[in-house]
Amino acid sequence: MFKKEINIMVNNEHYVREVAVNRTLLEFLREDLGLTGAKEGCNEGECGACTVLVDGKPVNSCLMLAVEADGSYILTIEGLAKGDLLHPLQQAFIDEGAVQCGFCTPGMIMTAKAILDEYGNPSEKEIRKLMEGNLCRCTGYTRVIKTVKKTAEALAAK
Amino acid sequence: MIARFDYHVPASLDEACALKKEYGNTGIVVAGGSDVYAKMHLGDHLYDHVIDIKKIEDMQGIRWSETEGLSLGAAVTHHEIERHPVIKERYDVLVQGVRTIGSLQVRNRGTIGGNICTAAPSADGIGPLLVLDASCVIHGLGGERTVPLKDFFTGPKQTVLADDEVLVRVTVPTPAPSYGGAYFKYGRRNAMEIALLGISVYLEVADDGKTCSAMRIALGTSAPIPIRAQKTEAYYIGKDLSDRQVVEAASSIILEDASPRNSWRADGEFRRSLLKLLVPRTVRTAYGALTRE
Repeated sequence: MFKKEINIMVNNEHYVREVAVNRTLLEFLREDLGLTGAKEGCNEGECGACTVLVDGKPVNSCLMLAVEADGSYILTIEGLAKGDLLHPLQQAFIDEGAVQCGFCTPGMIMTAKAILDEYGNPSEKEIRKLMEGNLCRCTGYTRVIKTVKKTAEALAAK
Repeated sequence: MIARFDYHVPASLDEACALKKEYGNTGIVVAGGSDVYAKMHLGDHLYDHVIDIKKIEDMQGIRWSETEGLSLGAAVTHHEIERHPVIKERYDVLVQGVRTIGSLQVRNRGTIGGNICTAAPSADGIGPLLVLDASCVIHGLGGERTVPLKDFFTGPKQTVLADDEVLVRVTVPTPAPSYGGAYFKYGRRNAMEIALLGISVYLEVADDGKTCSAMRIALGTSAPIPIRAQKTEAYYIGKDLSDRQVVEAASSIILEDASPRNSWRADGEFRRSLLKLLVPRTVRTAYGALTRE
């Protein structure tokens, strides 16, 4: 088959769409749904700018076909805030100045969210290891890692 | 953008084998896609047919029992392996290997079967499985067969899989209650690295706590295929592993096992120096990791 109908939840919205089987999940999100938060950086799974959560797990959406996401729940950066209330990670990235050009930020925040969901309050070393798939070319890692650690601690203390 | 292809989702092993045979070189079997789709984005390795096997039930799940050992479905992801409590406890060397693959995102998609079937000499998942004496359960149209992982690779990116065969599961016997395991990956950076060299060690010692009674060493990126360093392994048997000089003396033997080549990532000469230095070091790490009663 060259086209397939998919049934997919994205940020609490349900979609039934026909997609070409060679369409990546990233292309589907950006071009078909207009969700341009996830970015196309390298298209080969190195940079992590396209990171979204598929059933809670961070993946490179450039290396996944839209048809492979059939029946899955997708969370993108656009679905993280509750109305006007930003997710604690989003707010912390702003407060701590963990953003420079911003291109990598949506991917960084989605990976960080998945890490906090799965690991609770990981050490700074663990955060560095788990976020190795998100590249920042403004060399802003120090603040990013600190911000994720600080948010993890704040959430764990609640 | 990935070039147009026809997408097949076989529901059974026989269906997957029939499709693989029918499409031959124009088709590619895909599980997580972390290698295949990355290559297809780059424009080379284009295929007319993608055969997505990861929904096949026989290829799912991690099973374990003390008597049967570990059985990993080919479609099990690296992240499932690194998070599995029994694998962490009993097969730590495998966790050490797979957690160096790509990134968390890649490990959430990439599968152990894909790592094996891609058959890259640098694969971080293969060395640990080699020293754990893993075997491959293969399904073809004519039935099933089991091949030791050390005999699975026939050449660069070549495997024993016939036109109509797929890898279904990887089985790993239960290791000794007390063993030492270590995986050492040499790269130029810590993150997102392809191994310039990957060394896996599994060892057991006699009751005195230091005489080597079993030694298995696997080398990645040291030959056209992932290999076992059998001459070096033989050297260590009966030796006192607490004696650093004895352990390091293996550096004069290791090059009888390995034949690293020049590649754009590193010179063969450099890899040979690394092997002499790092194989004994990884043996010492494994000895230090020995679980003592």
